Amino acid sequence: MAIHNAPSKEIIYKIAYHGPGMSGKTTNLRFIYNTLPGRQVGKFLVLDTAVERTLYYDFLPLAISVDDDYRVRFHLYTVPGQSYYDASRKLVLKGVDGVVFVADSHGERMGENIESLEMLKKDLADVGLSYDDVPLIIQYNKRDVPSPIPLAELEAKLNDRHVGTYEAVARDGVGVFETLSAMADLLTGRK
Amino acid sequence: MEATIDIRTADGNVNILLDEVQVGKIRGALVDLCLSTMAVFAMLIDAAGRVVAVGGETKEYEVEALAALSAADLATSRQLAALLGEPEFSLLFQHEKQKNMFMTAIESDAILIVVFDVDTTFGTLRLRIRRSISQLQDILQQAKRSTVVALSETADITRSDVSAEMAEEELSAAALPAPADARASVTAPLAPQAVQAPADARASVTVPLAPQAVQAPADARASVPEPGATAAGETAAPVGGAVTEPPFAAPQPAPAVSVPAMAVPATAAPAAAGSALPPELAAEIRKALVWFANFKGWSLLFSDEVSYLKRAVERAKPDQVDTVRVVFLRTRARLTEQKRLLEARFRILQSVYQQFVAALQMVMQGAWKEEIVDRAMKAAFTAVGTENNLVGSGVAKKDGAWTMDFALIGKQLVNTCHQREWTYQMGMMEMVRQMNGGLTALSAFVVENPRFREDLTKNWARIYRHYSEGLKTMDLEPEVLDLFRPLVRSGQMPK
Amino acid sequence: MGLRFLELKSGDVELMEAELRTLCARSGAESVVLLDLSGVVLASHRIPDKIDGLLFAALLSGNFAATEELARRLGVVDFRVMYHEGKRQNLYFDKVTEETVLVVLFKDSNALGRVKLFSEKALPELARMVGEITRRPETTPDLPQARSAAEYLARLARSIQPGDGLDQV
Repeated sequence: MAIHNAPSKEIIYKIAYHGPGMSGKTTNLRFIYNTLPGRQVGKFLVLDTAVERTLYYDFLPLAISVDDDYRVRFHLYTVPGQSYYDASRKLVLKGVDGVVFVADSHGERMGENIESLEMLKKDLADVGLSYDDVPLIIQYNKRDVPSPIPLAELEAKLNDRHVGTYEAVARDGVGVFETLSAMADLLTGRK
Repeated sequence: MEATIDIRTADGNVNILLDEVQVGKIRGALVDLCLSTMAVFAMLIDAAGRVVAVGGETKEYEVEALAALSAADLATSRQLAALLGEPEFSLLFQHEKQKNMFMTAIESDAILIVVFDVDTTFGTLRLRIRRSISQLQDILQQAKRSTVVALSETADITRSDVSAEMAEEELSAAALPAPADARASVTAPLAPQAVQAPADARASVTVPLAPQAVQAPADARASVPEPGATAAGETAAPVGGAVTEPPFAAPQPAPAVSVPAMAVPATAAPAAAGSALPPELAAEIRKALVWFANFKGWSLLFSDEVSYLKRAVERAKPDQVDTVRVVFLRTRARLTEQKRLLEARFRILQSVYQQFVAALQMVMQGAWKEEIVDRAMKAAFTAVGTENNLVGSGVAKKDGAWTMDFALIGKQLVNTCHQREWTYQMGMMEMVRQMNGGLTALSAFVVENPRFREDLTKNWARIYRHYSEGLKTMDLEPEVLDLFRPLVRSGQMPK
Repeated sequence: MGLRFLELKSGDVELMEAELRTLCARSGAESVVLLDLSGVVLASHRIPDKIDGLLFAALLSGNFAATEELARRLGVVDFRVMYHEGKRQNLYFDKVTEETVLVVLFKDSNALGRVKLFSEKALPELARMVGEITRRPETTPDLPQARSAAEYLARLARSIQPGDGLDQV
């Protein structure tokens, strides 16, 4: 649930980056963290294993100051992609306002993409939210691999809701802010 | 906002290899804890949420889900502690009518979780838990000390022959299923940290020397553990000697594998002077000791048991005979288990590497037989770790094409472990390191070469599919899979 | 889109904080936080300055959620209370509603009894306040400020060149 604290002039949105293991969720956040100036991002929390697989979640708070001394906060989270951590994944979705599904364009990962999307539906239901209603953006990441999955196939198999989609190479920062901006538009009703 | 910093889990130092024996000891300590506190179950997991060992009743639960959640719990709790300037938190949640849980970190690498029923009051539990914690700490500390990636640059290459017969026996193709709780033991040997240890290796790495930690006590009496560990599996009191006996089930029946024949001895009249062991038992133990002397890799792993059996053969007292018999049989059973595990591992690795090479071959097609590949293969493999070249001997050209002969590599593995006094697990880690190094160099060559680059681009998806399908069929655990990531990355097209 | 909002009006936070202040005084605790399990602080009393409040909230809620789920899987039906014991400081968690938790930071572990007692006392009132706030009719507020922020991000997206601020993972 989003929060509007009128007395303290704060608006808080929670966005979760979901998707199969190693699809680039943490990479998205890392790029955002490295790009935005220090006054707009807080400490970047990474809870991962020694081999850099997300164990529970990453957390990155964005704060954008706007007119009227208001601070608009976007709290970005990633979920663990590996199925071993299924039990803890849904916990990160508690109270989420919007979901960015990061799909892996690597030729062999279509199965994982589909499986992860199914998990997303289930995870949302488990925390009392509905996949059909939640603001959703899909990012097709790793477009730079040789022979990526064709967009048409990704669309057909993953975008049953026909939501906005963005191509990305998160490692290089391509598409990261486009995706985030699109999510912000959805949440704030700008578009 | 102040300078932004990444906050990472204090997990970067996981560097403990646990072998079956140590996992067994841990399991024993956990069972002990459950028995003495009436806890429902107790488990030790690593900071990544993988289960190391479990004791007690877990049938009702998805142990792995609990482990993953506990790791999540610990990760956040640690960060909280850091935020508040505390060293560590221990967690307790209590609920009057239902299950209670206690969780605490051990040696910064592992987490102990105990679930207990309302029967146990926390006060009693605390005391007993403290004892278990220090038991577990000891085991883990010892494991840390014997964890190695040893690469001395001035060591000799010795290519002396170990008789083919012995090598054959070592890596015989017994297609036996891995033990049921293999998962617990698998947190062990191929821990990626140890394999990918960079030149500035961690401070906790030490070179193993002779069988470790066995004090030669001045007093002969103290050197043989007290009777108490019986076949019926009663709790053994922690002993002053080198062997700490965890509670055990009845000794295993004679396994049908090519382990040196160790018959179950019948009771008989006392034997040689100084030792009260029945002659048949003593003879079998002596045979086993000779066998161990020829297989350094195993005797290192079973160093405690080997020392114990040596002493038993020399000076066991009459009231210790039963214990000796049990230890002997258990050692044999565990050895069999270890061998199976090792063989299975070896076969898995063999398969993975062969897949990768097959994949490269597919890309290069006819070019695989060319001279330019010869140079690359030689450069990639024969220079690898020259002093302890485990793999060089097995990479050769046959019928005009390069192949990997894992039987030869296996023999070289046994040789090297014997020479360098490594356990076979450590030898295998070194082998993996060398193979990865060689294959990475080879992939780089392929990618660099303009002739192959075009083919590679076109076929990369195919290679990857071939390779990753192979990996999938192996059912490898995540940390082993991670070992192979650099191999795949090294073959990726540069920008 | 009809996003659900929790609207905190003037007075809401003051009332909650008053309750937390009382709890703090009576139990001798250092700080008290009313936490939403989405990872946000609704109200607090005396969070130490040196602590990053956003991080604190995200960690507390993640920690509680993981433990709650653990308890659920172990068959505990109405998990509510949790306790972290440290060398110098301790954390006590008490669930207020399905989405909110009371967290008390205190120094002397012997004070656990007092902390428990006064938390229990504060719970009903806090639950009532939270309930009232969340039960307000759900109309999505018109927030031009939020749209400005989205506008800013859109401009940013257009202007960022790949290669800015890169950090290779």
